[in-house]
Amino acid sequence: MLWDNSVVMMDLETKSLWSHILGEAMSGPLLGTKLKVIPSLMTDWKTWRTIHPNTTLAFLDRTTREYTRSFYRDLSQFVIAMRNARESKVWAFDRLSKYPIVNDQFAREPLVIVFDQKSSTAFVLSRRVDDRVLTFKLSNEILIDNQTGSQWNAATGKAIQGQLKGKQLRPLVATVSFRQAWMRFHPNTIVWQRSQEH
Amino acid sequence: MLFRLQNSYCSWSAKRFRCIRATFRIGLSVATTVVLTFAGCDGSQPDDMPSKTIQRNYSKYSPRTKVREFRPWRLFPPFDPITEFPIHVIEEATKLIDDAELVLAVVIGDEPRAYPINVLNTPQREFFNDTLGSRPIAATW
Repeated sequence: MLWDNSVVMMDLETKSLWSHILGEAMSGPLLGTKLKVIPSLMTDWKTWRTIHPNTTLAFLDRTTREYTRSFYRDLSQFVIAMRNARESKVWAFDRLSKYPIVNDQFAREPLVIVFDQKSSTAFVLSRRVDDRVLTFKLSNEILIDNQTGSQWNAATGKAIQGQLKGKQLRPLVATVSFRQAWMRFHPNTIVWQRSQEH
Repeated sequence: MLFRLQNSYCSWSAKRFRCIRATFRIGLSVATTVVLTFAGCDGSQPDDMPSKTIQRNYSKYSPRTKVREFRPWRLFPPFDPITEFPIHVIEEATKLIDDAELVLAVVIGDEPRAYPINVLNTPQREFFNDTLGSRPIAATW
């Protein structure tokens, strides 16, 4: 079942219908119920296994071989997107490729996006650590905060050196989507421009 | 709660098959990666509860937006849910999947897991019902 070219899911227990892009029951007994969305990452296998050497892999026979790094050959088609009940914002991959670190915010949450050009992976992390908000720059693929000069791993969000060593930047829920598909469901989405960078 | 795709190839003629394939290509143009969990749904409502339809009022995003209705297009009966699939540790996994292949990946607690997009891809395969870090999750994209 499709809704505006987007997949519809059904739960066996109540037969409610759910929009997978909205994570919400659109009809049936659970109408209006929202599923909690868990932070996830879309990346390539090499990048993931390097970040998490203890990872497991869920696997069944492939149904296609289409989805490899070359899937992103036209970066302008893709965005990393965030949403809540009131608003949404996207950061286009082609812009991120040009500016691989963006200190920004969404719905009052200060965040940093780090874009890995090799794998076209967008890491989205909160900039809030305890009670302070940090601002980051990127140096040789390592994040450095302006406030303490501590060094952070952009992929895991962990501080690896400096005053804040051991602290963790919280990964935020963000979705990789085709730009057009996202715009169809979120027509008033804010599109990040370079001038908005703080 | 288990999810399955509201769609099926069922029985088809060759001509119909092509038609369905074309449809799904459009459907898959939504390259969304999400991992969902089911906090607060006990899923115990009876099957015969009256079905309601929601009218999504997107105008709350902005006064300029038009109202969108939930009008899904049903093609066929649903597929069976996917609840069982092998889980591989990294040594085995690396033999199965190429470095350049895309994955949807998640960490819950201290348990990382990757779902290859090339596996999650056909209509029968849109959702994996899984448990990770003792939380019930659905992986979809």
